[in-house]
Amino acid sequence: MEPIDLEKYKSAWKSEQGFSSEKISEDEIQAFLSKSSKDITTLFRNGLVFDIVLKSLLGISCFGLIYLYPKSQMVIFSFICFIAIIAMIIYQVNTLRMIPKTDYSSASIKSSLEEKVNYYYGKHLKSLYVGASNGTLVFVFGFLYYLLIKYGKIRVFQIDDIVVIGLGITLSYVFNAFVQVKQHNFQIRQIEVCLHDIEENTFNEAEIKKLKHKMLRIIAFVSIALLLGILLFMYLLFR
Amino acid sequence: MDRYEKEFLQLVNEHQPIIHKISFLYSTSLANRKDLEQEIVLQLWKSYGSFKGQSAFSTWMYRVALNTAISMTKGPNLFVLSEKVPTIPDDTEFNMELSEDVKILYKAIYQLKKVEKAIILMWLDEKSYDEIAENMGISVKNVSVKLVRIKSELAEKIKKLQ
Repeated sequence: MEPIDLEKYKSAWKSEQGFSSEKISEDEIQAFLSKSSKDITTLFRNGLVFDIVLKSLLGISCFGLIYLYPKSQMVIFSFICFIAIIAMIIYQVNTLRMIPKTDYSSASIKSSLEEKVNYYYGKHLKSLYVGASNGTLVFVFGFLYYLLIKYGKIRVFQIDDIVVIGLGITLSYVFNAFVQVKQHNFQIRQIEVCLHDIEENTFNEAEIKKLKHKMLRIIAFVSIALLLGILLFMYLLFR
Repeated sequence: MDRYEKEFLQLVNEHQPIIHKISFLYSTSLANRKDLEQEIVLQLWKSYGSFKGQSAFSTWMYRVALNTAISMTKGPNLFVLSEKVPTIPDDTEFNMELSEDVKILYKAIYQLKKVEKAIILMWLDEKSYDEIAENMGISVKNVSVKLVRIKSELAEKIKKLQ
């Protein structure tokens, strides 16, 4: 069989008129300008903004708990939650400010992909674990509001109550974190694949491995913090 | 509409084939292509402030559009259990009047990886090795090595499609 003459295809490509036959109208272009971007950094930004808004609402609802049950235990519990929520909001705001604002016209493809991957493993992944606390906070606050509105007080819990609440807290956090991380990993992996194809050497892969190692340390740290939080929560409720 | 926006619209209008070529090669469906075209226009608009006219608008546009196409990711589909193996599109999916050679070329390029598509696209559009290297962020030597490999892969695929 004869070898393929790629130059023939190249000249067919260059002289192809089909690409000029299709037109995007000016109105369409103008409409595009008002749409929101589908870039991965927009996904990061939207997730963080949603998280900050939700946490702010949860922060405000701490005062509702004190209003409904102005006992010292509840005041201490709400105050601790409020401080924790404020700290998490500050963390998320900082992460939001660090989202790379890559200028596609000056950055090379490799550097813009690197920026995204480095930001994700260096900053955003941690914020997903912080963001996952929303599920837990909504569960705990919702549960407390339910008890206070229905019974006007929080009764002393039995051991089986503690097990159920503990499970609810753990599951709400783990499920939320799992879904968030899984979804983001799915998308960032597509970028990693491209980066790998551009580099085709091991230098940056080593860098990514290092960041993944760091991520595992963070997961361990967050898990311990969560466990301590549950214990503190239980202590405050039943002491 | 102010002068700045008018100027931008005019330039994009004049260079639309670049958008069509890139979105054509990087999309898997017509709907997908519209999304990519929209994203490219949006990114061009965002970056337009940094266009100082030092290079041709087409060169500038090429870089932004390729960067956008490679950076676009798709979200997970919760209702699909396994990844769909991409199939080569048939002629009905083109929605453009293209010559037979270009159709074959498209089908062959379609099977390449995203990065390979970018390199071969720049080669097809007569970009210099320096320009390809600068856009990709790799060395000129690396570009020539990659091009040799991609071209041979492309030739293989075309042979199968003929």
